[in-house]
Amino acid sequence: MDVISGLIQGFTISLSGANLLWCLLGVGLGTAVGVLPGLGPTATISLLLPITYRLDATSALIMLSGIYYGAMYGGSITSILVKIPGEASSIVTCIDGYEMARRGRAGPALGIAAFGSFIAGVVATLGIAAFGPPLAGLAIAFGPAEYTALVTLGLVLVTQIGEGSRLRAFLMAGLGLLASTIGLDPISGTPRFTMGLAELQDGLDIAVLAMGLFGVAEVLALAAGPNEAARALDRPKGLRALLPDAADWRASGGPIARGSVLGFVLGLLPGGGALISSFASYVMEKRLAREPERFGKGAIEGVAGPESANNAAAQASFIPLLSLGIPSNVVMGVIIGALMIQGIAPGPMLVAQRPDLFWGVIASMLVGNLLLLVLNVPLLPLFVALLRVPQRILAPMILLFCVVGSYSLQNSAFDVLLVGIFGILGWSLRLVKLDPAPFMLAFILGELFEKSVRQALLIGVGSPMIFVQKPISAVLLASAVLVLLWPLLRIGLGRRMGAGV
Amino acid sequence: MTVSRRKAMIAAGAAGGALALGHARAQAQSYPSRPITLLIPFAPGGATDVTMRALAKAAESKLGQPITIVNRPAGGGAQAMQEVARAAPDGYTIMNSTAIQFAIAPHMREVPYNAATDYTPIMNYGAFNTFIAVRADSQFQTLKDLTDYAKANARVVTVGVSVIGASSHLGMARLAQEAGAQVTFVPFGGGAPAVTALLGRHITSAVVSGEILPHAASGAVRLLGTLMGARVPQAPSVPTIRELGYNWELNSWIGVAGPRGMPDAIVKRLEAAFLEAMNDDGFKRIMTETATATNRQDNAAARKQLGDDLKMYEALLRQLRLGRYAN
Repeated sequence: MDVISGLIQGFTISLSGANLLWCLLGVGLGTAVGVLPGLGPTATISLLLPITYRLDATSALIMLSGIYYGAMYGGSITSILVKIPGEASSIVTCIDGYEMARRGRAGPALGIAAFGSFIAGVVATLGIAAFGPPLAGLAIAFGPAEYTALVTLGLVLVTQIGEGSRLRAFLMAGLGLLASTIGLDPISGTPRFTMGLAELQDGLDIAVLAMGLFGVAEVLALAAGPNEAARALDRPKGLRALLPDAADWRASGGPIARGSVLGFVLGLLPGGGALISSFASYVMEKRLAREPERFGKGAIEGVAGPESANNAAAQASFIPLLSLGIPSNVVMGVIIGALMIQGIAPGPMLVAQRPDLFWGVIASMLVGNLLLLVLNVPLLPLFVALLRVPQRILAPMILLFCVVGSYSLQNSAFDVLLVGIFGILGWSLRLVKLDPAPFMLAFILGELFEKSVRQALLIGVGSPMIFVQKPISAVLLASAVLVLLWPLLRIGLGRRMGAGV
Repeated sequence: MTVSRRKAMIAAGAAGGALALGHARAQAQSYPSRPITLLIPFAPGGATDVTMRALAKAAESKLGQPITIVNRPAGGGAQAMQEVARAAPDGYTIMNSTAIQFAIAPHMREVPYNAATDYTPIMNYGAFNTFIAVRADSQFQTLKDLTDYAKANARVVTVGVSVIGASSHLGMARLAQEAGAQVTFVPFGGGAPAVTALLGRHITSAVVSGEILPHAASGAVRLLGTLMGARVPQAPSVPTIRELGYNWELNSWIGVAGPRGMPDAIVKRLEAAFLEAMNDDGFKRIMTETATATNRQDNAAARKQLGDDLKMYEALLRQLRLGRYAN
């Protein structure tokens, strides 16, 4: 009851002229930022912060959150078109999205990402309306032990990603874990594997790895490959031909629905929830598919599921932010800063004291996703036309973007050098048919894994029993074991069934 | 950098400095005649960045020249430190300085700069608040309750901090040592996740900065004390560490510094401009809203603070066997 009136109030606020404009500005900027590698939403939001001082709190938050999920969508555009993930959560989109583009299906891939995100946004908004702020409790129920278990499950899922053999995926995930240990020890603060370079103290940057292993490696592969005059793409016959067709929709319906729910639940967890949801969705769809071998070769389900999941997660993460004052990532941390400058303390009282703000922002996300759809669908032919740019022009441009993008991360030339090194590494990996996706994902999870394990052990005074004593952690660990043993179990079950018949 | 190269550079710098002295004097009179570059060794968006930008903005009108802000967070700020150490001491390259990079980092790990000799402190404007917090339903009503319990039950009390070697961690470690208490520090990589873990009952207490204040206001946590020298306006009922019977206080300062060998006239000009800028309403508002403490230290005070802190943290880290003195 309360919720319905809240939502109605929210839509009234978010659809008012000025707020609609701020929302449009936010998603527009966000998309642009997401498309440009390196310039992430964190920097953009920080730089725009002074502008928001003059706005009222609701408008400010509507615009800032618009930048956030606009960037999520923008990141998927580059993932699909040129295989550069703009955001960590769109790494998975690179796998099948880029393959679709290579097969002349960039339009449906971009289309399904936009529609999927919108549908996920609707699901997440309904979820917030139905279950409401009490869900935030889940966010604080997760401590170091629970995170360790969640990340363990995530790591197990990572090894299920990627083409080729399980062994290769394990190898790459292991290397990713090792790479994540470069930098200051998360507990003692002593430098590890930095080779005496102060620049390596903070460890490797995810964006640097992504641009190198995916973007630059792709350019090198293009350069080394046969010189196609331009990619053999049919000139599309109009917008209709670029949109997902009936068969695409039939294939994507389930993934979008499952991805939305998965993303919503995991998005409630600060720290890695959104990222894990994107590839958990990918693995789930691969498992559920009738022909799992299509994954990695341009399966639309591999775009629809993860893109829906990361959008639902982005939206859900506003629950712990607004009702507990818990930021789920750096972007959210900056948004909290913006709220505090407005004199608003996020916390349990926020929903009760400022329903206009809470519901206004939640409703604006739905409006924003619709705006993204309206903005981007007419632009599809333009995006797709990019792929008809001859390689000899497109490839240097990608390289240029990677160089500018990596320099702008920290205003440091060292990062540009690293992008080059990882570009060559990424290309070599391709030559020996090793997939960089498990490496990247394990790298990101590795940091969280090491930190949580060691925190949990500190709290448990050195005893690993803490992982099984806590119920959430025990359940998650059990699921991880189950996923890992599933192939064996299936063989066992199959035999028994066979014997029965 | 090798020692010999550093020596050579110092020698070259000294020779050049002697020649340039006359020129520098003339320069100081017209200073500043072009835009000033201010390096911030942190990523945009944090409390240090936001407050420094506000102060620089207010100082522009006093100096009559724009101040260009460049964020250089690479290497935990080491890159910005190096860049300023090598810059010409003409007042056109200055940086945001904090106790973290200047007084603590050199004792935690090998750093490519010498904080004691490579820089000219100009002034300090702020300090990070440091609160000791427990949940509102915790059995510990006072700091003494907490330390007494930790004395009787070694290592059972867990204390969430941002990182090992943060001033909040070192301050609490010193406090625990003096109280004879043994606590377990759990670093969370930032203040916000430590607060989340506190709310979720995963740790006993947290020693964090201003990010705890909204939760104190909402009644979710109790602040047992502040490690600072003065009570905090946003939480006036929270006692200071001196009031709680300890004979020291923590000043995790934030200020402005330049390279070594800046002419006095230029230092004075910058000091006056930044101190005056502290009266700006916009700056004051940002300080309150980021819950950063105001810490007005002029040039002499800032120099003394840096010298004292370098010695104090070395002694403390040696005692705690941390960082470079771990073995």
